[in-house]
Amino acid sequence: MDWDALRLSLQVGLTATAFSVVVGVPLAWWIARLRPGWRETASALVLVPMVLPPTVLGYYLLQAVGRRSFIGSALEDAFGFSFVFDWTGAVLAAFVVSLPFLVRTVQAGFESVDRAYEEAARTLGRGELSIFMTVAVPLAWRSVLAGVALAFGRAVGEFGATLMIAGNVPGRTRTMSIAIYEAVQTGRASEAQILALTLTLATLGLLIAVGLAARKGVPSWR
Amino acid sequence: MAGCAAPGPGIPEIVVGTASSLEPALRAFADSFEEEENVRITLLPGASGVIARQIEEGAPIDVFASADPAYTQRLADGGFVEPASVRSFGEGRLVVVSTFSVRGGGDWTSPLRSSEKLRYVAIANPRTAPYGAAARDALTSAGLWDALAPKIVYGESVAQVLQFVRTGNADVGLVARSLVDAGLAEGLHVADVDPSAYRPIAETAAVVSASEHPLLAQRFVDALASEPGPAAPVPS
Repeated sequence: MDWDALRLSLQVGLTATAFSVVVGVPLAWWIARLRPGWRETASALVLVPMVLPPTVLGYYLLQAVGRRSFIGSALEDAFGFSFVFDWTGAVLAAFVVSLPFLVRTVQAGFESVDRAYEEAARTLGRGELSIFMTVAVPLAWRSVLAGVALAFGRAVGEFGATLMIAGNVPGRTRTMSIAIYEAVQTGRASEAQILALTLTLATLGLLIAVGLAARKGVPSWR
Repeated sequence: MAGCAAPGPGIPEIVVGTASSLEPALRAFADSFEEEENVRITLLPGASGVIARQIEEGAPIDVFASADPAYTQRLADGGFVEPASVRSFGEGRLVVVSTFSVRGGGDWTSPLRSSEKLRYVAIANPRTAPYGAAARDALTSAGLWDALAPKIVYGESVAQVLQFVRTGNADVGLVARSLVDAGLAEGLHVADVDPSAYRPIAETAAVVSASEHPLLAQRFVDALASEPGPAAPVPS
């Protein structure tokens, strides 16, 4: 059993989901509050990574942060850091593909919340950050959790873009999906079976946990 | 053509599942064969192990061309290719390609020893690609494998390894000479790996048992084997 691959998949999936939440929830709120027209345009832009084939995303990412690219060479010169063939590259790929799932779901949640609550908080002198944290997010909490579950699922399952930017490096970028692919290709059927079953059970357990958390309702920081 | 099993109208198609390393040479050969035989040749490049697996799963492939006889043998043992159809048609060579040149030349290991310029060394996945296994053997016999291990990245095939180096994402790669001969390594520095550092890479082709055009496929394989191949050693 390739425990490295499982650990790596969870590590990549959770990190990418965390970034998706930090970037995606405020982004969803912002989009939900845009004027019609602008809102649809911003929504469409966020959705692009969802409809493009992962290989196209992998190609764009290589163009953007490859070692010869402007960003890639600047990062390497300044910090000796490179996304390519590194687990952070897998995180970057997983983040880009999972963000639309989170934004789309959370945005729908924000749009369904009556804006009168936010207006009331505003007339009481609350700042925007405070309104976002204590009014908007708690009211859309179930959508946030649903978005997190979808984003995590997509991040863990990421394969195509990851293979292109992070490659297949044992212990560093060989995630479960890549290990399964390799096991099938090389005819190691029982290993593929075990890996596939483990990944299925692990993600299923996580989705059930998120579902239970959603039923419990809003967290207590309100 | 008489004798080929193409009942319907149109030209019969021969699908050749080929190791990526052999693709450039096979493409040139396929073009001339198509003209002579009134047949359409479709090349399906990939790592030998991956294509062998696809044939075992019933992929519609007529000819298997590989750089590792072990895969051909495995398919023959499993009844997936015709044992009597197997032909050897050349011997592959391993080369080192690098994005930088080494001052004063040196041997093939020089680019791999210039540690300050070296972040990633790409080889094909040894589990699926013969040139990957040969690269691992060569690096091991040169005593470099352990030191380089943290820098090694795997490509799906030699074609991807070459792409890694050509785009500068890997600094050095070990690929098939045939790709370099086909002009795919333009702008890179090339050095032949000492042939005694790895086991010979025998290129073989065989007819897939499930082929719908076995006679035509066999003619393709035979013609390939009788071709004076471009495998002549290149003077350095």
